[in-house]
Amino acid sequence: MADGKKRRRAILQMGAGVARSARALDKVFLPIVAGAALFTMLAAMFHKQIQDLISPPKPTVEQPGPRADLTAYMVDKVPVTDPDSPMWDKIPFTRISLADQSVIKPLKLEVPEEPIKVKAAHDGEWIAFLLEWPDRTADTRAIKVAEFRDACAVMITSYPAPAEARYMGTQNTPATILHWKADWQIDIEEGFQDLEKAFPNVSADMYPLLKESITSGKPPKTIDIPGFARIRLAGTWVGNPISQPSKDAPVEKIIAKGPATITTLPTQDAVGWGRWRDGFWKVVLAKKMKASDPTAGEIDVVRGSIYSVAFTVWFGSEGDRGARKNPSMLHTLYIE
Amino acid sequence: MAKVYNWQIGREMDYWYEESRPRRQAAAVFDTNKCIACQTCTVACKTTWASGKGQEYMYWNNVETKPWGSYPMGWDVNILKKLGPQRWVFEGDRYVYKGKTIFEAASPSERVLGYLPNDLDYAYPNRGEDEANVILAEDKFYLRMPHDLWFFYLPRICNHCTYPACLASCPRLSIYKRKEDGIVLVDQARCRGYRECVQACPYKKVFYNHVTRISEKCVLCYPAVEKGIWPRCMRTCIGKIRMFGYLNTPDNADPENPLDFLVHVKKVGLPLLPQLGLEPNIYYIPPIHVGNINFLRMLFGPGADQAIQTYNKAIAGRDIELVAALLLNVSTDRIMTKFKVIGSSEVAGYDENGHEVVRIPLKEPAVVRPFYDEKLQVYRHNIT
Repeated sequence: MADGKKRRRAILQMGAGVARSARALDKVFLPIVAGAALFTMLAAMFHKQIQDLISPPKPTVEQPGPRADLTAYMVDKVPVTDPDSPMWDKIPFTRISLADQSVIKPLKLEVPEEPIKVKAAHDGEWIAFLLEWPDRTADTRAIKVAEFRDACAVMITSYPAPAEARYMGTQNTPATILHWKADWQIDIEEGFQDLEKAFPNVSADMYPLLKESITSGKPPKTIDIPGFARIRLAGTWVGNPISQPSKDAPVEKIIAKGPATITTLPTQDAVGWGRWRDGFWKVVLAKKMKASDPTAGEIDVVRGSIYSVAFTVWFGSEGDRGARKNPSMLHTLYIE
Repeated sequence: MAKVYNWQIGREMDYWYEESRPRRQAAAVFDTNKCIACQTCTVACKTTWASGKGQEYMYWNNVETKPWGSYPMGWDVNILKKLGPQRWVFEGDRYVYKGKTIFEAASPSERVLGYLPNDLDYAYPNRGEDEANVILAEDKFYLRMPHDLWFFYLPRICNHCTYPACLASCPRLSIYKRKEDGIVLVDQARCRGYRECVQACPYKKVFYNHVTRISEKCVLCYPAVEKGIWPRCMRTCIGKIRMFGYLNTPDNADPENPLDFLVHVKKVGLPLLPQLGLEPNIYYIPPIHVGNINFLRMLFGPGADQAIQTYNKAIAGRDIELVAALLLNVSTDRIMTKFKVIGSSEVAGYDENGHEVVRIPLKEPAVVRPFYDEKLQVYRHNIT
């Protein structure tokens, strides 16, 4: 009996000792575990910022002369048609202010309140720009008489450039322009935005040369109009790029040598894509670094060099088109 | 802006470019007294040039009823309202316009005073058709000249202006006026659809194509004109209201040229809204029956009174030469650069090579047949 009591007391004492040790351990380990959990959580929340802090994209070539306004960082592969690619998150942005257009009439004197954010990257083959700007409405149609599209453009020319090169280049300083048009993108995304998109109840009896094709009282789809009948679509017939119902890319590659001189380049290999979300446009525009139309004046983009660049945004809802636009000043671009 | 001379307003005015008149200017005179709004011109043009997809709403040629009709809706009222007061003063031997033209009235940020119509403005091409100026009251109505109750038809095409607002407004230089004949064209390969021209043209005769997304306008059937043939809208005119040809400036007017004769010598052909300052090249003989001369002065300038008097004199048989010139309307589809009254019974028209292309009697010959046809033993309903 007495032995039994002794054993029980000993067991109890031993248990109490273990419990005391465990409490002491808790005091040390619980804060460590909680702290680690908190750290993990914060790290997960701010991992992008931390990553940028630890390993920012570094230029591979030292910039000559003064620091450029904008750097096109070298990356493995540029997402030339994806404005939402996580790759863009690694690239720092530059704020570029848009100005009024007060030189060539008609002028646009209103100036957007906020600057645009610009990122640039290249992979040795393609150079791409990501433009982001606030716009309350996405204007992706230019069918009705008073409808105007949203658009943006990047202009690249040599450095140093005369001040007047800002106005779409000069005779001696041709400017290569990448021009993204919101309606062109929808034409690719959803198919050509035809007459019926703006006028859904349109009906037709006949169109010359297409008499047999109208059976339901509805016009034929423009995209289906055969070649011979396109003579009735004058702009399409003469090859005007604005008038072509089928498009390969929403970005037009243009050469310009001053106001009123923009010309579509023969090789249309510029690409890009835009995304409007929650009142913001995010548009990527890209061209091949090696000019495909060098004889027409297209610029070669070479690593380690500096170029003059300018950016322009057209707000369709404000009636912007052509000269009615908000261009930036001429900035410098360094190709890493 | 450059200073240019506009003879229609009797003074120099501001224009975006230096004065650059074509070697010769294609022009036409439309006699509103003869227009019946049959719309044959409209259909001729529509089927020839504007029947493609995207052009459904377009009428490069339209005929509207004045005072209430307009296509696009309110084109004339809108621009006149924007322009503000317009005043003409008789100075020396001519009227001088003292108000502002649409180039002079433009805001500092614009080239031209204008506005952009919306798609609904184009939706009622026949609005106001055959509607008189006022509603016929229940009082007794006496028909007298000019009429208290009136309307008239106004056929309209592009005016191929000497100072085109569309050309001035295009920052892209896509619009040009041909040196050889003054025809104003939109380069379909160059236009990028900014619609500055649609906004600037006060006559609203440049149109935006919904499908090609660029602008288009009347080409004055230049392929025909280059071959010495009248434009389609003119040569299909069944009312024979139109005379097509080339017009000189008043200083170089040739009295044997039917256009110069009607516009500069007899001054019966008047420009449409000359106060806008474009020096339009489609001229109108004002309607003689309209009771409100102020309306005609507003539409055709201060020459309206004189033109009506001269026209009245001609139709009363007291101006054979003017009758002769008017009879040449749509008498041939060859462009005439000279006309001549032969004896006092015929009029002949000549092309630029001096070849006679038409000869017509001043009085239409009529044969009167007996009321009763003895051979068939029937009475005739129509004996002439």
